[in-house]
Amino acid sequence: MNVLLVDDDAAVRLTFGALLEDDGHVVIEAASVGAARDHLRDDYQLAVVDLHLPDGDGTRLIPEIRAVRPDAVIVLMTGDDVAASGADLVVAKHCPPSEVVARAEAVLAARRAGA
Amino acid sequence: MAADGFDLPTLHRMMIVWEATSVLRHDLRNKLASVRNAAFFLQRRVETEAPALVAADARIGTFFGMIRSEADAAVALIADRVPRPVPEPREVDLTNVVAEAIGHLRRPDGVEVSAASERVNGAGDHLELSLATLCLLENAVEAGARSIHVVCRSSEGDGALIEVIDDGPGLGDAADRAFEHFFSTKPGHLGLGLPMAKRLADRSGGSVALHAVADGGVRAVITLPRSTA
Repeated sequence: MNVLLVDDDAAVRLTFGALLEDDGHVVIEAASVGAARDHLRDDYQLAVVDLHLPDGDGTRLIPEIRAVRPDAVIVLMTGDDVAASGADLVVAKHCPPSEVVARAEAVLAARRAGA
Repeated sequence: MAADGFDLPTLHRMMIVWEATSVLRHDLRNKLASVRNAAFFLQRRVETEAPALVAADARIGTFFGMIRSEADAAVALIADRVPRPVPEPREVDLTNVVAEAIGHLRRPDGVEVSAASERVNGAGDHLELSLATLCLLENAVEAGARSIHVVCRSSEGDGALIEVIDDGPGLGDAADRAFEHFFSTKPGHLGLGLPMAKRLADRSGGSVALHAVADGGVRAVITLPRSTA
């Protein structure tokens, strides 16, 4: 799976990304809303987006991702209570990457079953 | 006074604490998540590349597990134990919101504050919107404005606006950092006023934006939905 990882914390991108790559996934990194917009049309099946980005809420990216990658699973990472974000999943910051991927794959499987 | 017993000064003090601690909690959660993930990566590597080492000393596995469990425990410790629920949005007379904000503004001698409003309602919480407006007024005063004008009006579409227009020095070079927590160009200032205004407007389903004024100064705009429907 190709993963768009959007987080302004370099250590988060490094460690989260390393575990994803160790599991065979390809990681596309972005540190801000603006940087993520440069990669929206890349090939990815999963977008993991931090809520708090330096140039705006990560939720801004959700409709933009849906417009160009409607099949991608969008995961919002936050420790805050977020109502109606529009993401497919909302997970805590310390959720292991393998669990994020497993839950995303469950979303994809459910979509295929419902199609 | 709000239904939960808070007045504007009390809410202001609470929001300062809440805003400051929420940033610290967010940053700490990031650090702990990175520690946890790094430990898990190292454990997998060691178990793969040096299984004999792991087998020879059970503490290796134990300590890797402890890093993760202690990081999880630390995350639990910094959970928001006193969250402030988002208030139920109501139809709010924005003229009253502005009046309350101006009434609580401490202004130096010589600073003029005026208001002109059409009668317009917005959707949100009266007290939180008053505090958001007060934060914008305080920002204008702290920037050195001598004249501040506040306007409530309908916006294009189905929205309402509160505009705080000042004659201060303008946005400056650091405009893109204006809403960054703990950032201030003014020595001795905490740098939480604009982030607080943004959070409070967000909680009412609105937003805050800063615009340069042609002759200098800043127009700070809170945009709100008109209707609770």
